[in-house]
Amino acid sequence: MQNSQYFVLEDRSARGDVLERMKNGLPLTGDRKAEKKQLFLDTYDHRLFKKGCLLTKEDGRLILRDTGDGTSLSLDLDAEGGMPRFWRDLPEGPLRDNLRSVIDVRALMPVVGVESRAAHLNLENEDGKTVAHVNFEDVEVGGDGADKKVIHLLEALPMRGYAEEFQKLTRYISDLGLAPAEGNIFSIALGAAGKKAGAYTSKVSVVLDTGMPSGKALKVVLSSLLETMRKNEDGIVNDIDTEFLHDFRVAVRRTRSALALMRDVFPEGVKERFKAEFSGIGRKSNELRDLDIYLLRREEYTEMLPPALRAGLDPLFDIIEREREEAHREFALELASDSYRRSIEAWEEFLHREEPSGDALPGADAPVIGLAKLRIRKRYRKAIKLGKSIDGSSSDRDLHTLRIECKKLRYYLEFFESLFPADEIKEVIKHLKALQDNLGDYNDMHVQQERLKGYISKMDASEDEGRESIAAAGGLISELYMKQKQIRSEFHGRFEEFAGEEMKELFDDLFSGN
Amino acid sequence: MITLALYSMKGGVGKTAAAVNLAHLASAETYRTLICDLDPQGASSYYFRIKAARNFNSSKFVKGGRFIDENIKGTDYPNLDLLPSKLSYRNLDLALDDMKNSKFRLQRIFREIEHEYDYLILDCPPGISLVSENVFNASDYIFVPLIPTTLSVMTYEKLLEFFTKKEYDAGRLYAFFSMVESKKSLHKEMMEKIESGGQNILRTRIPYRSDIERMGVYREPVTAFLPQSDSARIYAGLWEEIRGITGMGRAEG
Ligand SMILES: Nc1ncnc2c1ncn2[C@@H]1O[C@H](COP(=O)(O)OP(=O)(O)OP(=O)(O)O)[C@@H](O)[C@H]1O
Ligand SMILES: [Mg+2]
Repeated sequence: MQNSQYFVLEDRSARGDVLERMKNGLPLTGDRKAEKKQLFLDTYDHRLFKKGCLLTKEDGRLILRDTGDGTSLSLDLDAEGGMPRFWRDLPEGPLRDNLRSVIDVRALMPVVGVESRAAHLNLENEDGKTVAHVNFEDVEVGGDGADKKVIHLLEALPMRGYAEEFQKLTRYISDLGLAPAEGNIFSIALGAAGKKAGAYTSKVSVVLDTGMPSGKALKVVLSSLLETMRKNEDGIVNDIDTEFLHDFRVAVRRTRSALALMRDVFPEGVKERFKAEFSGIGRKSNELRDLDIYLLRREEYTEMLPPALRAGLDPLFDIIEREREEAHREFALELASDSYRRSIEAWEEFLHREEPSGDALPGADAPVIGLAKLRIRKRYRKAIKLGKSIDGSSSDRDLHTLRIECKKLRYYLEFFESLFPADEIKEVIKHLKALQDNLGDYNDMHVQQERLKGYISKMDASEDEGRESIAAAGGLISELYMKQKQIRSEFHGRFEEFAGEEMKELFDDLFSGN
Repeated sequence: MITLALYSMKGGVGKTAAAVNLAHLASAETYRTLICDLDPQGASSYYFRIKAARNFNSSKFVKGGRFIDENIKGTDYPNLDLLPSKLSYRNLDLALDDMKNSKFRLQRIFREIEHEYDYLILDCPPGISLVSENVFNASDYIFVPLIPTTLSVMTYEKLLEFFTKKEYDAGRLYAFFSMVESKKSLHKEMMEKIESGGQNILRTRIPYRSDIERMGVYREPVTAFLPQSDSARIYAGLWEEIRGITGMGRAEG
């Protein structure tokens, strides 16, 4: 079914006039008044909104609406112990299942509150059958005092099986001179509050053009990465969910890769200094991220073990939880530290410096397309060379090196995506991703086993509990090892596909010349 | 999705009256409900003021899929949709006969929408035909309104015989008294006799009431236009009994 169509009224006084003109030409009946107060919830990156879902709290109930088909699921929050943060805070049932599939590891956060007073009217056909609804709404956006904003909307709601009538209705309203508004009540209310629904993305979303000077282009990319870092700081410090740190770290790694592109563009000193700073930030968050991953895998680990060994996981996870708490405290302090703030300020200052500035090298003025092609080409060749040298006798280290190389190539492709034809670059990324997933999973299995081995040495084998945990850890290690072997066996296929003739031609097409 | 049929061999016994009120009550309890009008007369479509699209017909209906999806219409009540019938449903038997597995065609059509609804309520035409055999195969439960008169009861016994002969599970078959006039001693005797007979007979009896008859004037279920009335209350009792049989609890409204 179609979604509601909203129209914006200039002000409250326009309503009487519009209503009268609508009643003149359309069989509208009823005039039911209703008030409601809604708090919209979503993840930081608006995953629900992006999937066409709206989650609200109203009258003590949690309601998940699918704007695609107009269906909804709800549950009594008071009976279920208050506001959920994660999907697992909800009782088992379809609402929880649906939420889980969309928000995954992300936490729900209050996004915007609205209070609306509406008048509902029905559009009827010649049989007196309602074929569409019309709502006039005064919507107060944002909770407290000064930021409060009131908008006046007209909403046309379709009914199943009456698409034609709906179309006539919206055309009629447009003809009255009202402007149709994009989106649903969530995005319109957010817009009124000066924000954009679904605006955050952890992707590199910069638009460059081929003639842009390299120095400027790099700063555009780096500024966007810095913005991503900054947006995630609060979520990390307040420990909202694990994705804040994840996105933050990806932005840091991308920044380090982008710094490597600075040769011939900015002086060596700038590059070296900030490379060291960002490596430091990345390194200081490693521990927290590793522990986050463990905690997220608790369910998976439990499933891996035979029931008899599962109890041994509890003490293990107690340790991990304590370590994680400590690691979080430390990294939050790091983000609040003077040294972090000074690094970021210095970095910002460099990025904001107008080009051409004194510190640029001659390469800074060359068109970015040349730089992009050259660097991608080099990375690609290096990855292929490394990959070809991998055989049955290669070590975990060798695979790790290839993984890092592929990651850098991936980042370069993402930085410069906007310079190349979209379909083709997507095709390249798709194949690279398949290889990266394999390498990433392999490395993951390795890291997990190492860490579990570390825990075994911390356990007290003279106690029952310690012995159970050692058994559980041992069980997990062998299971992870089997998986790792399986993943390794799939490596060659993935690599062959990436290194194959077809990809080579595509790379040549896209990235030769300058 | 739980499929309920309102069925009887006899016409004019209160099938449609029960179907529309039960559907309305189910939807008011927030069960996602679809009422499927199988009668070419289109009485339940009429009660909801819904007309099928001009180009819809029985051969499209038996094809199912997008033809169903495109022709389902929202009623004026939340959670309640209706698939209207067409006069061409007079030929539904022929249309079904042309299909493979012709006795299981409806079951197959409805399977495609089983995740969209909690309850599917079939308002059936009277008579025994390929359509009714499709209904027996597609339904989880079959409810038969029974006017407590000798002729009606005889017809019901015929239906039971038919079920036995064709090896349908008569355990899914339930009767309830309809259009009961308690002043008539014949009605009373008939009901007592049948209730002692050990068949599946629901406790709720639908009386003969003028407000039920007036549904045709208001074109709304009596549970919607006179929600506080005796008639509405009695249909609510019938629904509660039926909901219990289907193993569902009271959903939140
Ligand atoms: N309990 C009742 N009290 C009074 N009138 C009723 C009652 N139930 C149904 N009627 C009326 O009796 C007529 C037949 O009822 P209804 O259409 O529900 O029966 P039906 O079994 O669906 O008939 P058909 O076999 O023609 O489809 C209708 O006019 C209806 O308004
Ligand atoms: Mg009927």
